[in-house]
Amino acid sequence: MARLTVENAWVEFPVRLTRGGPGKVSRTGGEIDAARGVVTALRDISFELRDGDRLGLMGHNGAGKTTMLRLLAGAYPPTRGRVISLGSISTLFNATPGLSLDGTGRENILTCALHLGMSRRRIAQKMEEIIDFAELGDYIDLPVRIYSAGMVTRLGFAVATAVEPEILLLDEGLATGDAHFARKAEGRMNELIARSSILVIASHSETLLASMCNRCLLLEHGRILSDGPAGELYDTYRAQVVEAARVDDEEAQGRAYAMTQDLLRRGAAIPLDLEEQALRHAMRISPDDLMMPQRYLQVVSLQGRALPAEEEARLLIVLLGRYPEREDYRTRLAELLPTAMPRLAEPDRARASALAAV
Amino acid sequence: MNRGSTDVAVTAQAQTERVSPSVEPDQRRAARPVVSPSPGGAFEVAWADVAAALRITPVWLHSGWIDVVWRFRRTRLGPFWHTLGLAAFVIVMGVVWSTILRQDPTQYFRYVTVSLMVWMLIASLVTDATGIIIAGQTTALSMRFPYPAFAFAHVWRGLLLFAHHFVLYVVVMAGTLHWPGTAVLLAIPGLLLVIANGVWMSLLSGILCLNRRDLMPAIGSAMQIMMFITPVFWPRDMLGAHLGFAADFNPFYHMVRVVREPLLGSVPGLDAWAWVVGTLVIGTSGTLWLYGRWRDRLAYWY
Repeated sequence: MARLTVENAWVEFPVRLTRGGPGKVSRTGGEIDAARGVVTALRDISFELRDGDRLGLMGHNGAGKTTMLRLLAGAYPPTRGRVISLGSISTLFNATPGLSLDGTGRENILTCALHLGMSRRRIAQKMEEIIDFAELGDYIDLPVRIYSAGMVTRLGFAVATAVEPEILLLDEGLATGDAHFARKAEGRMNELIARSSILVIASHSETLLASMCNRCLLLEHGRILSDGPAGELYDTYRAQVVEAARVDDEEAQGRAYAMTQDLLRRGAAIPLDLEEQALRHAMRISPDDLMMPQRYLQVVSLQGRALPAEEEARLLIVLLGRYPEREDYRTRLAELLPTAMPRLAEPDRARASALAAV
Repeated sequence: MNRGSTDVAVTAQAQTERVSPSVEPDQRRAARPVVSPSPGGAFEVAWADVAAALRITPVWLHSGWIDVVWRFRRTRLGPFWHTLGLAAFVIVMGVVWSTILRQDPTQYFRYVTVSLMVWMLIASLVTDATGIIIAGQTTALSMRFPYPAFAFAHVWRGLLLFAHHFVLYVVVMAGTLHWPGTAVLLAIPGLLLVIANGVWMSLLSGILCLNRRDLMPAIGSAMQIMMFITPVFWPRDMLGAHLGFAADFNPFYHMVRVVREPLLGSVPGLDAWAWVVGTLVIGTSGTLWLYGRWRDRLAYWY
């Protein structure tokens, strides 16, 4: 029987600011209150988790996801309100407690596992399994100093996942090396998750959360923006991202791009409105990739909308420069010219008339 | 991952648990709910954490020991480098200072050896402890970790290094043909009192330096000055009648005495024991109060 209750909890970091000024909300991170000298990382958080709950934490960088995990783990006692936990807790972050570069792999397994709360007997039982899983082979008796970054990560992951807690707190983006190990890691993680009675996972991958969790919290500036079933929350979140991206918010477009990539990786269907914004980001970061404007025009027309004439004309000019044989583009450009011409700048104007005239 | 496979795995796990009910829990199991921030007064909070640190004794025993192993792994002499450094120091000091201070060389050799051994233990408990909590960042920020465990690990580490220096003690005693007699057994309670003091000193030092990083070099310098004003290289009597109180009111002097004097074969006076016990009581209560008062803020100071 595990339980995790958060009652009106706040996490406020003391800061010593050299310059005073009115408190303001930065684009990322918590709220800075210079007068009181605190940064509010989490604000008035309340929820309760019981056996079988799988909670996902969503939000942009600095929204308070990791702080929330640390709060739940008991590492940050809330500055106001309180957190009550019942059951053993284990946190899986990128850094493993007790890991030292001077020790051998085997020594580090013992040290880290002890820090994570395993008994010596249990460690001895699991030692071989951990070594096998980390795929370190003969390296296990060499100092960690000479390991590759991937090997250190594998070692840390293998130890951290050997602990079987009742309440499991996971930070996303546990870098796990190459594709082969990443698959294995995912399998192990799923086993661990299945065995824990409460799971809290912070991730940027909304689709992952939607598939894993029965409840999600969307955090922004340390507040719970919304709380609900994962799928529903994901749709709300996507709508927010798309809306922000439409009004030329470059960060939101980047967000849309990341979400699309994520969906692609999982082989899930990509909503057209999201893809449209993702393509805008893609066109900005790699203007030479002509696949992007082509797909962009397609996505816009599939949604039954039309771009502003001059914008579409500009894209067509670029595309015709590369694919002069595309008669459909040429026809479309000729159609657009009367409206677009006055709004085009000089070099584009000349090229447009030349291209349409051929 | 899809939900279906999770559910299957959950059921499978439930079955294994039914088959083998003796599955040992991996974690320090919290039978009662853990409330954070810790409820209760300062001493209650502090005591709960000391108890928690004692419950994870295997963790700090191992980490203190493995730290020594790791720190000296790539050296040939390992921790004996410290002993060797101490030996070189003692020889130079023995020759030069016995002349300057007009002391009997063999007796002065013994005096300086034992004094320095004990002083280095005491000083390391304060000076090297400045970084113990800062170094534990990864641990302290990924779970609710009892900070006194860092102090326990540190004191244990200091004791291990002291044990290495003991070789030098035996060599010097044999070399100068001196048998301390049964009084030497008093060094055991003396040492126990010193390390008990070491626990509060290193915890205090670690907490203060976590909050005010400037204190790290400051404490280092302060302890260096302390070495010169504490009767370590010279006997207390040399301070004379007027300055004698400077030693008498120096708790470090009494800590040195309760270990040094038995090791040299004499019995420390009752005043020394009283001072060390008094320091222990006052220091421990003060530190526990401070710890209990600020325990829930420590993580925010990283």
